[in-house]
Amino acid sequence: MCAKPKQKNEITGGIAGNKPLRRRILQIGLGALALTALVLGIVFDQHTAVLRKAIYVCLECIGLG
Amino acid sequence: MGAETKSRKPARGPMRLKLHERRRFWGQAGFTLLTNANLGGFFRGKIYQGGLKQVCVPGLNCYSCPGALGSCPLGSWQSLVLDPLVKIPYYVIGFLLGFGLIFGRLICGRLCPFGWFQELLYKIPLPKLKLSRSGKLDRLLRNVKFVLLSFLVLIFPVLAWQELVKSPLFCQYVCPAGTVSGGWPLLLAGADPGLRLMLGWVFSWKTALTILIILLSMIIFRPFCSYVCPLGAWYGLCNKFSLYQLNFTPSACVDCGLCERECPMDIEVRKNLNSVECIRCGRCKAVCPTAALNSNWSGKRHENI
Ligand code: SF4
Ligand code: SF4
Ligand code: SF4
Repeated sequence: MCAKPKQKNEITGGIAGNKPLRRRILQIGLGALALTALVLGIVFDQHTAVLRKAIYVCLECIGLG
Repeated sequence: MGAETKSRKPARGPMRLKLHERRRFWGQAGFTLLTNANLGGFFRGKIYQGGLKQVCVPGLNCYSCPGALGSCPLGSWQSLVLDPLVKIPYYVIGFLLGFGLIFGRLICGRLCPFGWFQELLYKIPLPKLKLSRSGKLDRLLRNVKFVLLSFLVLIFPVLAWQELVKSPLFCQYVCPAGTVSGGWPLLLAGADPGLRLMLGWVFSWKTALTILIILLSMIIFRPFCSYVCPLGAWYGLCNKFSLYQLNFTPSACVDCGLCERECPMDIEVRKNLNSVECIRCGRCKAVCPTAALNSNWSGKRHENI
């Protein structure tokens, strides 16, 4: 059960595979997407929408809704 | 490599593991306190209503908990999708993508209050159950969290935009964090008698589910994280490409098997490093006597096999 793995893919496998470049591109792409989404969210005032919801007791969350 | 070196090396790992676990414990406690610092709220039966609530916290942390200073990303996701003025919650998407991209499930292993809560329950000295030994059942149950994640990301928004659902279904019918840290303390404090008048079958259902998860947490390591939590499922997918990565250097491995033995999630560490199930508790890395397991923040994996 605890045998040493022999192949690269057994260790580094997954959706990004073991291709460093592909993984780096994915990281940069998702980073850019995350920043864009966050900026858009703030531009559209979505943080205040969160605040409006979160300052009242959410009856659904506490099981009374 | 003499016999002396061999006998010295395995002893180092367990000692380092003890120290690591102590540090991790205080890290989890500190972050839970930091993000739930409105302690007076538990006595007053009132939740914090200040501006910090507009910021999401990375872990599962109900915003109706009297102590909570920030907002739970899962609750925020659902409430923004349901908000007719918002519909597409860019803010939460950016937040979850960003945290997932940097940390992956390191948030589960080091920061999430509900993960820590389950770990505390697991410390209660009772016989422990290893569901992973059951093979098929364990694999089947582990998929539940991905089903819930898919539902929340793909189906829930469509139903909400068609106005077929009008409430945050996951919070309402599943999330035990809301019951433990929101429902029970607010009802106990009794500041709002109106809340008690609203008790009904939903509360009974959630209380039963929460008690079941609490009891299971005493004998199974983090059952909610392993089988149910959609947030953990998301961060787990991010393990594959996050900037924080665990690495394995086979040439340094002495095949002692300590890493696999100490992994609380029962991962075949050396075969499946950065698995979606890995909560990045770092136990394997700490116990490894030869530093064959290590980590970096550059998003790179060692491939020197
Ligand atoms: S799986 Fe969910 S509840 Fe468990 S530690 Fe991760 S975010 Fe928290
Ligand atoms: S593989 Fe290592 S870091 Fe991941 S859960 Fe297991 S012991 Fe923790
Ligand atoms: S990687 Fe695992 S088996 Fe290899 S030396 Fe480290 S703890 Fe032992």
